[in-house]
Amino acid sequence: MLTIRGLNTFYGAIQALEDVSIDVEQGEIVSIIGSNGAGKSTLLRSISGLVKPRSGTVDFEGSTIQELGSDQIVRRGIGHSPEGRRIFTNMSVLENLQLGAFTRSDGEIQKDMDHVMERFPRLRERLKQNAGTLSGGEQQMLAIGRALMSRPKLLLLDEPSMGLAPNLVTEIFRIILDINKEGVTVLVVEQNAFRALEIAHRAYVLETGKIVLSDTGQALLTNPKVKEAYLGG
Amino acid sequence: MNLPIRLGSFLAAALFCWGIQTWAMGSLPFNLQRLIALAGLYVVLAVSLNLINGITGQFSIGHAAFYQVGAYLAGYFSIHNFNPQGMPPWLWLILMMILGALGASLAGLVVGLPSLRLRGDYLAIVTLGFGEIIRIFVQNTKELGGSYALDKIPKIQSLWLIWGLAIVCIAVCRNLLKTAHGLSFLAVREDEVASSAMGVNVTKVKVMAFVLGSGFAGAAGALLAHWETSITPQTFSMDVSFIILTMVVLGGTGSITGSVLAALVLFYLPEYLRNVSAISGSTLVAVTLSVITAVAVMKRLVDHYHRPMKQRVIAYLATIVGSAILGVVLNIAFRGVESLAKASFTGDKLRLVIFATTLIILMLLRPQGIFAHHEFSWDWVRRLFRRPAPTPGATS
Repeated sequence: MLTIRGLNTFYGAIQALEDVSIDVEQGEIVSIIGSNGAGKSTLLRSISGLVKPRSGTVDFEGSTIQELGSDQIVRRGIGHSPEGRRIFTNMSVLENLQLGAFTRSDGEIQKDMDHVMERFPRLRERLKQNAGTLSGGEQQMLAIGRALMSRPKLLLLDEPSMGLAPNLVTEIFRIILDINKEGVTVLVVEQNAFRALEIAHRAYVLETGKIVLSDTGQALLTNPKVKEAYLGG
Repeated sequence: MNLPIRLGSFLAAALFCWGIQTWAMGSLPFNLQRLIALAGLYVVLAVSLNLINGITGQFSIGHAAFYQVGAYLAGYFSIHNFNPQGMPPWLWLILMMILGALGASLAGLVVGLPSLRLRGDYLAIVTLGFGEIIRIFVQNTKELGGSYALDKIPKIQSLWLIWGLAIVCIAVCRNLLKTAHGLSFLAVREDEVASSAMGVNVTKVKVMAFVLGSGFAGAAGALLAHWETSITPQTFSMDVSFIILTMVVLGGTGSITGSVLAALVLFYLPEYLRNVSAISGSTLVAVTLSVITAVAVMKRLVDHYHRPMKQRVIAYLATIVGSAILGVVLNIAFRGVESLAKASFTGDKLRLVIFATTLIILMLLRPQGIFAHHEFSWDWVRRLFRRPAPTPGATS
């Protein structure tokens, strides 16, 4: 579904990604783990067009997308829940969700909105409330719900567990599994390596801009190197 | 919005324009007609800058430049091509408005495009510079009158067109906000990265805001040129830009209602103060002291007195009444001081001081602007007169 080959992304003179190649197959959950500053977010941003890679290719469903604008990429079916949630804090929950469906003009937006609110009942209760008044967990749910509103085939999630209490982290990852079961392919980037590997069909380890390991999620969980570096021994 | 409301507001708008035209042109002295005309133009300018600054969040402070482009373009064209035969003057004026709007939109595009990568202060500097470039260009072009006036523009004065433009401008901005597109403008103001992640074409939104906003300013300029028949570069100096910006900020960035209200107040206040009769030094000192007291107490109330609406309003009113009484007492007391009682200040001298003081006080007490980011709606009026319903608790 998504094929990335030899991706190099720079911020000015600093190279954030170096020759990154990954694959995501239809229906998978693929996790990318790595420490702070490894380039995880940059990878997602390069896919969704928020930064332009300097070289390399990003192919989505057989066509090259790295030259397209981010709005075109959303239209192709890639939804991105960016780092730090980035919900629109001065807008209502409803408006946030409407913006998620910004690229769509079909008649099923309301149906999808209902579906998102079934998945996140807390959002329905707070529909008219300013998104900035939501708790951290609710904001994360809104960020995911908003990304789902574009009806993505591939959902990019950037650190969905960031800043959340452990029980909420469990809930968020359960929801990610649910979303995947309904047919959405998921590419998730996480510092919480244990959780991310647990749900992943396959996973990559990113270190200072380079892919250093890749395997199934289960295999990486027991990999001694990963254990030492990311799972606390 | 359903059809009857649409038709109703259209009729109301038409009636308003017709009314203002027949009432003002029929019975008011010329200088008052002019004030009403200029007030309408300032409404257009404030609302259109609000689209760029408030709604889309692009800090542009050179709005007078677009006003100037429209005025000079339409004025110049009109001087050389005005041909009254076979065309009612208002139709000509509408054509000139369109010309001015197109010219200013083009200028907006020119500023908007390179400014896309700039944010906040940097964009402000670019727009400020652009404004100065336009002004200096005009000042050095003999064809346009140079630093003297561009003179002998055909006189076509139409209050209904001016206020019609104001209403169209308000309607366009308000309807824009109601659509998904409008939401994307607000989204760009909130967070550009998140907006692009949602598939909003941030570039397009910013350019559209600039083009639309400057287009309205240009149309206003065309109307001004034909009203005044003579315009100079000083008509569009930097302080005009700042006044427009002040209107937007004071009204509450992003609120159309606020922009309209602030435009009217800020435009009329200095004109009104011109007519205030001379006051004695003792009154001036007394008023100053009581205003300072009122503001100091108010500020404390705003910051620390978190009670239900009703109690707060009572506290505010008490403050105002209290400081008014203080003012009266002080006035009587100071009358005893001969040097103060003899001194006299005319309203004309004080008006700009009062104007500036009003701005400072408002910003102290309500930094988010009069309307913050809210809009006027009948719902809101209804709620004001109803008992506050228990609101569902918000969690943090």
